[in-house]
Amino acid sequence: MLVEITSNIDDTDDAILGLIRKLDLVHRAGPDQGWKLQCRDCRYLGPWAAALLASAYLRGEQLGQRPRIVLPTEPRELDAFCLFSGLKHLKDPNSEPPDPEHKDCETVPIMQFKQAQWGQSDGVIRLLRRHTELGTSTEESLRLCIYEIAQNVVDHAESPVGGILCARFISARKRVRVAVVDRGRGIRDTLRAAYPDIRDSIDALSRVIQGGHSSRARDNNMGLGISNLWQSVEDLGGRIAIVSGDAWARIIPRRDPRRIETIDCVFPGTGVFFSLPTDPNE
Amino acid sequence: MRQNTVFGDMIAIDAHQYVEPSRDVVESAELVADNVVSALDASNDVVVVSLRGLRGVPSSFFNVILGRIRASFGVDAIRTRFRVTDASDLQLRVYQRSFEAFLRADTAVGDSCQDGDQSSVQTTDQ
Repeated sequence: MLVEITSNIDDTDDAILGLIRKLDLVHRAGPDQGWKLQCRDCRYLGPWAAALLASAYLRGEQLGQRPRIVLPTEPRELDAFCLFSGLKHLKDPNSEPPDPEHKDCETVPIMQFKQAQWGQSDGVIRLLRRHTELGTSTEESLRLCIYEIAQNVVDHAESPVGGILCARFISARKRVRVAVVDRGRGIRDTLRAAYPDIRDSIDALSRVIQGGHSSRARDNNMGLGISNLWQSVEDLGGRIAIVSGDAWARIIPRRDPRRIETIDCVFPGTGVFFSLPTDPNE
Repeated sequence: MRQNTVFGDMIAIDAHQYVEPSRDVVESAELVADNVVSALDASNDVVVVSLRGLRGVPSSFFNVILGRIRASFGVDAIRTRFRVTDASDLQLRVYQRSFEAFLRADTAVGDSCQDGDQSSVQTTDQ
């Protein structure tokens, strides 16, 4: 199966939804069904797209699908992003691994995790400190957001690939963009164990953003993680989109603090995509 | 060596001692919770957990500690014998939400819960 991605996948809600739609065939592919993602003509990819592509690739490998991703080689900046994000290394483990400390690197390479550790956010913080003056409140919010998502993945998702994180500092806009994607059960199915009356993915997303709804998979679950994440992003004037199953929730700046809608495909898991200003005074 | 500090009728536990980059957030919280429960068990003092030096503490950290206190001493102990201190505004907010969730959960199972409950947050200079 060949899936061609010719458009640029910027870190916007619409572009990410477009990519998820494109990946729908790949997500629905059965075991041993080979696929190839042709991204050669794409001219922009961001960390949100990188996390999605990585999750598709890693799950494809697990399912014996012999996944292939053809990455773009130009422009030069995009080629560098494919190196620094770890996309090149992912599809070719014999290639040079990404060096997050490289002077030109503005990216935290794709990180696969199965635990929620204190050091989870260190790479993102180090990256930002190398490129900008990072305020205490921004650092705190960023760490909180990453911890809350990671704990959610570990406690609830049952994701066969764990969680996949990628981040990038966008110096021109003084923003950090972070994506965490899992290929687990999705929020609706997770919550239904405790709340059989959950109607659909929209209802499930609405409840976790509001807070106080949890599958109680572990003693430490009180249903506050996604709600804390959402509130923190909102308070800092950031952007966020959460995709799970056939729904997505997002903040539309200056228009709608919380919009939850169905999408015309199913994402097999949950993706959290957010961006925060690194200078809260901007 | 990890030590608790005693101030009059308060026992202070420094959460930072239990935090390492490679350690699970929940594992750290369990270690802090062990210490809190031991201290509460050993005396009638108030136990205070200092968050000095920690950045961006997630809800699961507080939930583990509050859950252990509730399991050992009941929800009233959360209100009357436990505090967090040296917390940033964001940490206080996250803690407050966890605290309120425990009170709500307690109400939901039929225990009494009076209006106007105040969270066990001790504000101190940073």
